[in-house]
Amino acid sequence: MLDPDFIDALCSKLNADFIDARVQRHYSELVLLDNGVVRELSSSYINGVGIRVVVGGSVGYSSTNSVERDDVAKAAMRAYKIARAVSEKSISVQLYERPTVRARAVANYSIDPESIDSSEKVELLKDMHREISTVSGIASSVLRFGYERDQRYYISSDGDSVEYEVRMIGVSAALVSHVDGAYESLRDHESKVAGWEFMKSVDWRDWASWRAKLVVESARAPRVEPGRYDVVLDNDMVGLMLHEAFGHATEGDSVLAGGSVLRGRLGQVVAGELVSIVDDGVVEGGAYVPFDDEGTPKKRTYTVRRGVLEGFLHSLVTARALGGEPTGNARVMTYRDPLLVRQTNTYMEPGDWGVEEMIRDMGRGLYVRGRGASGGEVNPLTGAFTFTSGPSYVVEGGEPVRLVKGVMLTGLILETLKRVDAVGKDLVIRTSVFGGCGKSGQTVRVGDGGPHVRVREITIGGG
Amino acid sequence: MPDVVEVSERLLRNSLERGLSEVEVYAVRTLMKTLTVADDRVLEGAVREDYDIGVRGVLGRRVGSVSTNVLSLDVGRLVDKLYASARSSPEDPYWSGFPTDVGGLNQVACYDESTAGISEEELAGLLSHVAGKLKEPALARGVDRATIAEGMVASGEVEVFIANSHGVSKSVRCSGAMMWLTLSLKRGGAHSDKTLSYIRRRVDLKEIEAVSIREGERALMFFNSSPIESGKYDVILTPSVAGQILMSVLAPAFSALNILEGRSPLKGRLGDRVLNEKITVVDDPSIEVAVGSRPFDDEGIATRTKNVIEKGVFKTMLHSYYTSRRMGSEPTGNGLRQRPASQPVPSFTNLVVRPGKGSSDSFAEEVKKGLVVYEVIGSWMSDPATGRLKATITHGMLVEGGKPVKPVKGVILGGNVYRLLSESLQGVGGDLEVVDYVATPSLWISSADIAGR
Repeated sequence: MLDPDFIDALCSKLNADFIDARVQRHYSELVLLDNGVVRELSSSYINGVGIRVVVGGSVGYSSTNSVERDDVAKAAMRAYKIARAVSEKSISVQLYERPTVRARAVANYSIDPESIDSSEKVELLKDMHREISTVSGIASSVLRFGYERDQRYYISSDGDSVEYEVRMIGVSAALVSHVDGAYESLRDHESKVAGWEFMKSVDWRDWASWRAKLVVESARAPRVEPGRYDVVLDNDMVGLMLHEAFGHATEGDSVLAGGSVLRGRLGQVVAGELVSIVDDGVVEGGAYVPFDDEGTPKKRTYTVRRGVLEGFLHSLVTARALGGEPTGNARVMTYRDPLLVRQTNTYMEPGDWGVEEMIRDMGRGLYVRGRGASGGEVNPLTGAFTFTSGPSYVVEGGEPVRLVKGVMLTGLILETLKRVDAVGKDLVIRTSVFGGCGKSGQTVRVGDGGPHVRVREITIGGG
Repeated sequence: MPDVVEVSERLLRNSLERGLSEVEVYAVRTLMKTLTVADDRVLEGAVREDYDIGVRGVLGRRVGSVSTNVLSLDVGRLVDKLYASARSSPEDPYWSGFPTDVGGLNQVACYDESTAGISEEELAGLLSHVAGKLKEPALARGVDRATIAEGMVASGEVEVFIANSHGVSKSVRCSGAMMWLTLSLKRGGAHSDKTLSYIRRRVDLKEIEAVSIREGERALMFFNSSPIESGKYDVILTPSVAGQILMSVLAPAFSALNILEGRSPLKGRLGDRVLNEKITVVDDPSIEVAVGSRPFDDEGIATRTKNVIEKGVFKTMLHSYYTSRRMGSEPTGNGLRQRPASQPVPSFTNLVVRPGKGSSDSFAEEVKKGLVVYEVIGSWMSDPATGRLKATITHGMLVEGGKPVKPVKGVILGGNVYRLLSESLQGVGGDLEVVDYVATPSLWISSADIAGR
């Protein structure tokens, strides 16, 4: 069994400044139903240990798929060697010295999905497919059931010993309609940090049917006219916008590297005064990140409060270098990967507008909906971001009057959030077991959301 | 990789003994050294050695799979899981087995010893050299600050082993090198940047030096960039952008599975003209040092070069063994998989657009008013099922009368890719460039929708 004493002994033996280890045991299941035929029914086991060695301020990583002490010691030696080899060209890294952490957490669940036979998971998707097949105009349906159990154990030569375990479960659909010669597609998912009880709590046939009808209706809808619009964004779209348009630029490693337009702007106004943005590790509906992969408890962190840039998201390295405090945002995709500063659950705090009130007050514009959105991307250095929406509504006379499709939005980080002039009372945060946020080749589970929000003058295209 | 092969063969044997009617094992070993860059210095080095094994097992027409990275695994337990998975799976009415060993290995050189075996010191030296070349043009013209803000360089090898109960047993070792570096420039109060991206099976120093200097020169173009007015514009896609767009919105439509399952606009279009006659697209697994080059696909079927689009006509769809049997066609060697345990699906190896004449520079001189596009984000959100292109331009240059007039960012390029590459296609350049898995020249498209101010 690996423990902090073993890591500390390795550290002394190598005469290193610091060593830490990320032990991971990951199990996942996937059922993929392609037009009613099972294309994949798989289980996957990934176990291993990732080692970081800091020596003379230089950092090396290595990993092993064994938890045996000899193999971990060999991995530490490989990490030590590469750290030494690049020391002349390396940044001299120092870690923020925080109190030792010894803790354990388990995300709640009541029915273990691993106790449910695969045939029941297949049958759930087949039921959904049967429902979808009754909707005229559906050309293709790909349904997935996903489940993962992620157990992480962090130990360091400073005596940290932090363990947590999380289960996520959910369903996704990728639908294509073909109506009167026009194709349209829609992707959506529903996931939760939970066990099989979540699958029992949702009417999946109804869920599937609603989306099938929407993609058929979208095929008949016109494409949005490119241009500048006042928009009301729904909860999903707000989450996506905050994550892309702002969240990435607050990640301490990008700030430290000079790769963020927000560098040097702490204390400046970067958004409308109704805007407060939070990054939190444990929230209803979101991903479950009670600790980061440096063992730091994930703090509820304001990056923006009432429009002012208040702080960045930090690892131990960026907190020390940028003069902040660790926020618990150092994360890895798997034990094999190096630490990056990542968001956890990003959301906007609610305001006092009602959704209908906000749309009515806008008069003319777009009501941009997130169901069916495919995601977003940002260039945090240039400051340009972009994201797509699902089928959305043209607003005229203060009412959503007709569906439009093909909406893609873009903006500039330092401009767009300043144009937020109404924030709703409602708050919804969502996560996904099927994907997450990608950065430098690593995808980590995140959540995002917020209330409905109105933004003036946003660029829309993609038609 | 004796350990992985030994474990894989044991899994194959034990699965058959357990009563599965067919079994296939796919194993990958990855050895990679990576240096991450931040603010002109190495942030960290990493040495990675991974194993992944995927097993698919069949009971009649019921298919299940498992995967693991644990070589010390309990083989019996994993085989039990595989058996249970196959038993729980409903029958696939189209299942027609794993392929037999049809032989005819395509001879593709995909291994370079110096790239695979690069030392940590050599990798650091390469990084310094390329970073220096990337900054050279800016420093020569006296910017206030030129730094490599972020990036990484990696080099190593990947070894693949495939075996099945019908006699297929093949392995291949390929080297690989990857580099992306973002150059950030400051001049007065203004900022500009440009990213260098390079993925090959072999590090070609002369090539990477030339690409670095070119990108370094381009970085000087984007100070004070901003959106332009919405409207119809002639758009000139430089090779890397053209490649990115083809890969995200066009290539998935060539898949026989997507065609069979009703999510490709090319369904029922084999033999039809679907693009401009200036466009010929080839799936070529044999390009020396290109990252998609490989002697056989992920099912062990020999790869081969084929025209997918010939002078605008859809000639060949890409097949896995499964789709080829379903459609009564010959396999094309395009069965590739996302994960070791997943079913291979048809995908391209290297996609090549045959070059024509001209270049992004000569097109820019020729066009009355147009937008030359150097970098985009979000093109992966395009929809191959409908052919709708969506991409946000982060690095563009508005040109008028052959002269650059304004750097552009934050505008959206949209439209139907089949229309853009048919009646709207004005030119296919001769400046072919291999970018990742796609090699394309520049493309000149007239009257494309741009959403901006």
